[in-house]
Amino acid sequence: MSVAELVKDISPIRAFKGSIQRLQEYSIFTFENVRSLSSVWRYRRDTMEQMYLIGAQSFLIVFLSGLFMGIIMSIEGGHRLETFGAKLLVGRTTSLALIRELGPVITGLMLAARTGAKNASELGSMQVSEQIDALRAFGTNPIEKLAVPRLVAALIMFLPLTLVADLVGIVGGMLVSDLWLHVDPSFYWHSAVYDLKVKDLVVGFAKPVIFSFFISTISCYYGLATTGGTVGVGRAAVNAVVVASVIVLFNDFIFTKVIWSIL
Amino acid sequence: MIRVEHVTVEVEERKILDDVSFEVRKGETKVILGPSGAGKSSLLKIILGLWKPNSGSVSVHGVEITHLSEREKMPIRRRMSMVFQGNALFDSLTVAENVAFFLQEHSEMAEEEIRKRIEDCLEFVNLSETQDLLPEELSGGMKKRVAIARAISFNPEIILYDEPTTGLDPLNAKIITGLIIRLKKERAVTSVVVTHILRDAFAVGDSLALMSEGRVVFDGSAEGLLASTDPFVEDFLSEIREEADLLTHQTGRG
Ligand SMILES: Nc1ncnc2c1ncn2[C@@H]1O[C@H](COP(=O)(O)OP(=O)(O)OP(=O)(O)O)[C@@H](O)[C@H]1O
Ligand SMILES: [Mg+2]
Repeated sequence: MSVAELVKDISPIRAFKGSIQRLQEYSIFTFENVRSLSSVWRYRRDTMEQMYLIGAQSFLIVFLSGLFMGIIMSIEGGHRLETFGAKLLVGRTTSLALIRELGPVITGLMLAARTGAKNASELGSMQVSEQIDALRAFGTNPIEKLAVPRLVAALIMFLPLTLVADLVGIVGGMLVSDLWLHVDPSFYWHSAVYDLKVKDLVVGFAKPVIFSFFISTISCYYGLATTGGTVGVGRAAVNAVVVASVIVLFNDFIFTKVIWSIL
Repeated sequence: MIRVEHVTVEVEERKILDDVSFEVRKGETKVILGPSGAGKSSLLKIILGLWKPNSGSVSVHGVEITHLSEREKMPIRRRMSMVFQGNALFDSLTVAENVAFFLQEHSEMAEEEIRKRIEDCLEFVNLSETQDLLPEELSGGMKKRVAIARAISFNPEIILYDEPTTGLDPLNAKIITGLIIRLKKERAVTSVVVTHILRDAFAVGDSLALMSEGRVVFDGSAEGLLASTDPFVEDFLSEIREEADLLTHQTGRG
């Protein structure tokens, strides 16, 4: 037995080769998505439907996570600041943290779970039940019909959802600051909103767009690449959510780092 | 009409199809028999151009399709349709939307015309009442008939059926084979019917091919199949030999 044959069966190496192959496939898939973007007009009804689904299904969960983030940030930050006699700054720290980091990341993670699992399991079950083959047999490109509408819907919807999280968080922070820290709401609001710089807004609003791109393409890729029956659908959904979540965090890090160094 | 030459398909160094060649003439119904895992579904997917063979060629209507891009296959696909093994109905769409799918995607037909066509197709399979139901609300036999209605919605010249009667009771199976025969007679459809049920094979087939482990081990008439002395053919037939004999007497074949 040659070395090459021996090495072939060592599982970490096989797994590594597998990941490289997946990455390559994913890149091609993503490229195809971008190249087919113009088909969104043709499938505008599917796109609208996806937009509605993302909005309707994710609003509550995004609303609640934003609210709790704002409340927690205000309580934590407020008490910390109070020891320096600077609790009046609580509005500013809360809104900065929310708009730059927590709003996009928490919304991103929630949507990675919500939309990611939905896309991967929907497309996955279509794959294993041969519906994807049927689409192709009827001359319909599954990327144009299924992936692009989901991508565009995510690109459009993630920003407003993040804004909801940001806003609800800031308002939630205002309420607890008034209640427990006795910071005047109008003062809180003023420091939360007027101290924001354009840079903060650019960072905070660009992130959801980037996240949505990755969440959508990753989950659609895993869905369409599903093999192995119903078990495979479960696996695709889990993989999509895990990978999309990690990518959201990784992108956040890259983004923060790069933006700090150029802006 | 359909010509498959020396097609070999390998997945992970395993040969799923091994040097398969055969031909289906215009208006003919070709039955492909074979045990589970013989590669029958894979063969249909090759003919439809969903998979690319590792080697060999497939031509449909005289056009070699193995090297065409998805877009270039479109003219061929407009003339060819498939009834999938698991039906593959779009489960988020109603029966009517399923049947209308191809026309809405690719034709310039007006809504009214499409609606008329849906009604005709569903009437052909005797399911006029189910238009607004979802696939999950149908029985197995009904799903199969919807799949056939969807397959004929754009009047294809070729229809590939993947195990159209498997898992159905004899009555429903008979309805389906009846539809296949009617399509051939009334619309001159060229068909490839994959099955492992000998009774249905003899009922619909003009000629039969028997596959085993990715190879075609027999290709010819029903009489030839029954008379074959090939060990695998005999083996495959032995369990159903009695039934087959019975059928040959009834139909006067052989
Ligand atoms: N997508 C795939 N990837 C890898 N192997 C596959 C794939 N599809 C089918 N196979 C393998 O190819 C072989 C032939 O499968 P195929 O589905 O064509 O058989 P079949 O004759 O249609 O069987 P059945 O009567 O059970 O439907 C099987 O051994 C199967 O494991
Ligand atoms: Mg099969």
